[in-house]
Amino acid sequence: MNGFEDRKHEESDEEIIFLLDDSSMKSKSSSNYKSAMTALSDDSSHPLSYPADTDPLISPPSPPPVLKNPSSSDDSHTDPLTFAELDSVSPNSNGEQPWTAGNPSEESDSVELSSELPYLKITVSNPKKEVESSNSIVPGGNTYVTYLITTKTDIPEFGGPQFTVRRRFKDVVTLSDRLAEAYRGFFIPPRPDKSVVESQVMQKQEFVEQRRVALEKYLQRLGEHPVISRSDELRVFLQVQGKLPLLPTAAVTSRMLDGVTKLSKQLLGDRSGGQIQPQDVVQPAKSRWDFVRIVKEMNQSVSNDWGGSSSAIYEEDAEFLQNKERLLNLEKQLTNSSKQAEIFVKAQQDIAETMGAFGLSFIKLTKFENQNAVLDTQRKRAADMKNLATAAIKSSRFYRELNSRTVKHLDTLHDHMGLLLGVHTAFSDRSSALLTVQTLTSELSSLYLQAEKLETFRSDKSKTIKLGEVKEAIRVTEDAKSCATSEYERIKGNNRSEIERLDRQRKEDLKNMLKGFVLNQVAFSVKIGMEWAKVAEDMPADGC
Amino acid sequence: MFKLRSSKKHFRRESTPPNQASFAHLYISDKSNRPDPREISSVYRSSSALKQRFFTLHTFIKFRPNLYTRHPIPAKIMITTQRSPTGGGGLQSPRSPSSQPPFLSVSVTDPAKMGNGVQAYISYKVITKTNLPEYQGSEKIVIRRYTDFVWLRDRLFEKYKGIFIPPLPEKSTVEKFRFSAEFIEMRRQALDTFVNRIALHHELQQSEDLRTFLEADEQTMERARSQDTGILKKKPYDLMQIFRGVQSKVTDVVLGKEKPVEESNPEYEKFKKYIFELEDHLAEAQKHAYRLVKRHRELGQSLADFGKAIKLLGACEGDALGTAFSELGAKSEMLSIKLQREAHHLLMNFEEPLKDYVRAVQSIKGTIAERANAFRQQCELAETIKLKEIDLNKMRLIRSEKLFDAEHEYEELKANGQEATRRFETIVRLMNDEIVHFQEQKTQDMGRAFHEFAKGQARLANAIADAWRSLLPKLDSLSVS
Repeated sequence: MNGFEDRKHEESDEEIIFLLDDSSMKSKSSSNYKSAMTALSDDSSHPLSYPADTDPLISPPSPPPVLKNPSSSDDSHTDPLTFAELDSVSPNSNGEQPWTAGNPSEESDSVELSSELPYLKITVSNPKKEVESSNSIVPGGNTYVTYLITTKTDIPEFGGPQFTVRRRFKDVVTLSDRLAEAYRGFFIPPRPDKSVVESQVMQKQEFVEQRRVALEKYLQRLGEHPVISRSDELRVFLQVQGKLPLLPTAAVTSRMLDGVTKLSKQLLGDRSGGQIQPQDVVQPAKSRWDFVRIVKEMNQSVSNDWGGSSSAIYEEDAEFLQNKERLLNLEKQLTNSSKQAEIFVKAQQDIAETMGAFGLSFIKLTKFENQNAVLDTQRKRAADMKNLATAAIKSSRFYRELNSRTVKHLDTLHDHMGLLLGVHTAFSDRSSALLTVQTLTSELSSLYLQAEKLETFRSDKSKTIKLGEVKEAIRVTEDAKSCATSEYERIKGNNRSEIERLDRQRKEDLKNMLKGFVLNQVAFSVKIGMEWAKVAEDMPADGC
Repeated sequence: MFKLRSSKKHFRRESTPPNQASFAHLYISDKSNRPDPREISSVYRSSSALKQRFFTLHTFIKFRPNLYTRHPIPAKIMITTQRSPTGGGGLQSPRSPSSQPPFLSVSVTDPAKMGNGVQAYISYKVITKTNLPEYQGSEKIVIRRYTDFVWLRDRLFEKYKGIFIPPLPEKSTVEKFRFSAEFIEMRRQALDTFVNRIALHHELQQSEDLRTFLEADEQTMERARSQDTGILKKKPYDLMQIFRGVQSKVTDVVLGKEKPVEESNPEYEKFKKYIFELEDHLAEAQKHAYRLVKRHRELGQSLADFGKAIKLLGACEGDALGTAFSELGAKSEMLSIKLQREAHHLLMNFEEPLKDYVRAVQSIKGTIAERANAFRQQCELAETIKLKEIDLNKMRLIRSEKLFDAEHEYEELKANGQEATRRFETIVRLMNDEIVHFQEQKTQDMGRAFHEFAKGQARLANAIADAWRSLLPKLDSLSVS
């Protein structure tokens, strides 16, 4: 019972830490951005979007577009199709045909990666409301939403090409926590934010849909990661039916718990704990069990700050520091670009809407003139107005569509801002691992000092016994240190390869973003231009 | 609010249709490089005023060295090259050099800020070219300010009832914008259109007031203006008329009064309703048009900022991708300028003509009010005459001594009645013509504005498409590498 409570405690602590982390990072602005983006792309249901359908004056020349989910997997299929269709209308489409094939970043991502990685495609669908069964104090009072997670893969470890499982958001949190523990130093894509909202809001269709999209994107990102896609944690999450077994069964938790306890005791000099488990030190100090360790490492980090250069192992990897600097600057520019992109997208949306409203007002005017027409000149004017209004509404539609695609393309900026959050985590893993090494090193040096002192009193029996104990402590600490050092080295290695991977992936994504953005602009501008050119031709400047 | 204001707007007359255009050529002066009469006129001023005026002018010239060219407004916002010369007015008559037929053409140019602070105003050079014998010479340049134009409009409204007097641009927008280059240029265009419409109108053209406006020196003009502001200040009366016109039915029904004296011509009723509703519809459309101008500007601004951010981001990436980014940024900034330019084009060639349309409708409302007024007078007189007739018959029966006087009075009344009827009928006749002209002219104006709009949008979209398309080869090579 006690253990259970402790675990719970630990969990909530983690949650708090996570929340703190979230808010301290850029996620505040990024989540705003995201919501703005979603709000914009959701706008396809805006009453103005296809006003012509309701207005008898305008016979809609194009069929009403299908209301579609902005980022559902189906969408990525229809996307290139519409795109090709658009392009075929454009006069200079011939040279651009190859572009249209795999343009949207999502699509080309999977194509690109499939050459290097086995296929792993994850979709999230079919959210379902469920009632908490264990907590039956208030019957039916506690509901949550589960999502159907479908995986298609050819990775042999999964033992099958396709399987589904139902998971709730809490499971995803568990997954991400486990991944964060097990894959320190990797740039793990950030998990969708925990939204602190009322349970009523939680149940809302809109919220659930937003979360579904975010989860799908997250899992997809995990699936694209060369190491994490092969992880047991992800496999279990995707494959094992029933309650997520990671939490109760996985050794990680318990191992970490007592491991850390022992380490703390060990650092305190209490050797009653017996056998040391070197892997304990690889875990970052987190829970309250680590209190002593935290204090020690805190001291170490303070002494690092004040006289860091004297420390045995200090961050001296010039390449790493340079990369860190570079990524920080990149993050700044990404944040800025993302912000400007948001404003741009908003302005583009505004022009779409204003153009629509403008068209509508001229439709009304046309109707009015037609009803009241006495003279032929009035009828002619009404006809001209109708031309103008029709073109305005058509181009409003184009602008709208252009914008929802622009949102998707420029979302890459936001996406990579998010990925840089993972970089922050990985880098702090690195420095905390370094800190552990440093702590153990100074611990060792004091032990050696103690041993040296004791050596001088070899004659004293009690001192000899003491010396044996100290030597034992040194042995254990040395073990821990070498373990911590190799963990640090491992993280360093992970960092290095991850920086390369991230750079590669980002360049690829940004390239695709540029292409997508530019092509999209060209295609729609051509359409809009043709629409207006036709109107200008139909209405010569001399008005006759 | 519209209804209140419209009482001041009064009549308007659209410029002539193409077939009439030949006898009056619009003359857009591009070469007004002559001594500025402002300096001459200032001689007449009191010495302090003179000093001040000269000073302002002097600094003005220093500030804008191209004062004597046609477009002295700083080029930052003023993109004048593509603008139609009349800002949507119906005055694009051919510039044929044939000088045989009579012509009268006016151009309003060179807006210049005069005075300081609250007293500050803009003055315009009004250049007249004509071969009409009534005019002193073939060419005359005067300096006028906005209130002079208002004077001319009010005079014409008083004298030419039934004619739709061309509308003037609004008095003034927000104080902040009063001296913005854009506002000044828009007003200059609108004033140019206004005065040319009058010059092209076969009746208004012959107005003495127009001649005064075009020829009188600044002193005479000012005197005429200050005299008339007294006479013409009987605005409240007009206001009441308008109100009665709009609301009479409602109030009369509510108050249970007898049927108001109103024309019961169903066709005219329909026309009135049409004009009143048209104003609302047009105002709405114009509002959206203005918003669209604003949106173009905002999109331009955001594109420029986006471009800058993207360039910086590109600098982080380095290599070919970085170059691609920086080119994308450069294109964004270039397109931003294009967007600003189109926004301006839209404002001058679409939004402004639309606004002019609204003003024209408001001016027609003034004419409607005058017509109602004339009709009421006519009816009242007829009523009085009828009563007088009954009186007279009574007197004849009793052989009153007053019969002679009464008969005399009756004759006088009858003459008045006939005069009122004639006045009313003139208004009706004129209006019938004017309506046809109005519709014809507006169809033309709007056709032109729509054309400009569509052309501008097409041009913009194509510029965007071209700019982005030019990046494609570069991006193509990126994906290969």
